[in-house]
Amino acid sequence: MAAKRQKNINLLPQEEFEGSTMGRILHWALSTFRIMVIITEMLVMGAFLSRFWLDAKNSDLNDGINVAKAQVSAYSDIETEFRATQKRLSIAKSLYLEDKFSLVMENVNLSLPPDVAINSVTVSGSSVQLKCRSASERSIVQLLTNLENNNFLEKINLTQISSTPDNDLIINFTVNANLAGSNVKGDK
Amino acid sequence: MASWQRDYSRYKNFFLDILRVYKERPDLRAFLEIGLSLTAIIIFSVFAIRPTILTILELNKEIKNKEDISLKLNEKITNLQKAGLILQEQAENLVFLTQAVPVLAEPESFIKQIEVTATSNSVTILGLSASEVVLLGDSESKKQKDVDTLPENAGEVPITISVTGTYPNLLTFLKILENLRRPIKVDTFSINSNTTDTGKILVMIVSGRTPYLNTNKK
Repeated sequence: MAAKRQKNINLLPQEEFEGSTMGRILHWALSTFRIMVIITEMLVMGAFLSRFWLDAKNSDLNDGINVAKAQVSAYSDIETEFRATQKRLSIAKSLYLEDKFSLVMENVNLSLPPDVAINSVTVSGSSVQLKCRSASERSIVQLLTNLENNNFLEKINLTQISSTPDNDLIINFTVNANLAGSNVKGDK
Repeated sequence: MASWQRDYSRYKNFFLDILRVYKERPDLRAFLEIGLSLTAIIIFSVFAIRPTILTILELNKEIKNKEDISLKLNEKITNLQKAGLILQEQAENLVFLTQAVPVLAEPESFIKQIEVTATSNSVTILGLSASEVVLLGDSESKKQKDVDTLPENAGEVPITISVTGTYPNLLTFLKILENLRRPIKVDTFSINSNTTDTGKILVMIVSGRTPYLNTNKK
C-alpha cells in the first residue's frame, strides 16, 4: 500500500516581514515602482525612436521648402509685373471714377433759366462757385431751385448779390455749392 | 599573521556580514530596492526624458511652422502660375493700361494728347505747363501740400492748361480731357470771361495731376 503523501498548505506569508503593515506597504511600493521604471524606460525608448522619425520629416520639409523657394524665385519677374499691373489698375480705376467736372457743368447749364448768364465758374476740389448775372430776382430763385433739384450739387448758398454799376437792371450774384459725391463720378 | 592578512580577514567578514544582513532582512532589501528605483526614475527623468521631450516639442513646433510655410509657398506658386496666365491672356489690354499709367512721368506724351484734343475741338491753348517732376530720388518734397495724394502713392505730373474758345467747345474739351486714356485728376478748374483788344474771350484754366507708376516709391 502506497504511503499517503501528506500535502501541507500554508497561506500565511513565509516571512514574518511580509505579514507586517510596513512589509505590505513596501511590497506594494516595490511592485508599483517597478512598473514606473518600466514605463519610464518605454518613454525614453519611444522618445529616442520618435526623434529619428521627426528628424526625417523635418529634413523632408526643408527640402520641400527649398524647392518651393526656388520656384518662387523663378516666378519673381511675373510677380513684379503683376504687382505693377495691380497698382496701375488701382490708380487708373480710382482716377476714372473721380468727380467729372464736365458732368457738373452740363447740369449747371441745364439748370440756367433763359435770362441768367454765367460770368465765371470756379471749381476747386469739391467746392463750386458760380458768378452769374440776371435780369430778375425770380430767375435767381429759379436757378437755385433748379440746382437743388438736379442732385449734382449740395449745400447751395447764395452768398453775394449786387447790382451792376452801369446798369441797375442787371443783378450780379454769387452761388457757392459743394459737389454731391457719387452723382458726379465717371462711368468708366 | 601579517597585518594585511588581519585587515583582509576583518573587512571580508564585514562585507560578508552586510550581504548576510541583506539576505536575512527583507525590510532592508525592500528599502534598498525602492531607493534604487527612485534613483533610476530620477536619473531617467532628468537626463533622458526631459531633454528628449523638450527636443521633440521643439521639433514638433519647427515642423508645424515649416508645414505652414510650405503650404503658403505652394499657394503662392499656384497663384503666381494663375497670375502668369492672366498676364498672357490680357497682354493686349495691358498695353493700354501701360499707356494710361506709364512707369516714368512721360509728360510729353500727355501734352501731345492735350494738343491733339484742343485742335480737334477748336480751342486754342493759351498756356500749358507741367511742373517740376522728380525723375530720380525722393519726390515727397515736391508734392503739393494742399491736395490729396494720388491713389497707391503714385507719382504725379502736375499740369496746368489754359485754353480759350467758345463755351460749348471748352466744355467738350474738358469732357475729353477728363476721359483721356491717361487719366487726370482735376484739382481746380475755372472759366472766366476776359476782355482783350479783340473783345471778350472765354478762358478756361484746368489744373490737375496725371499719374505715373514711380517704381522708386514703395
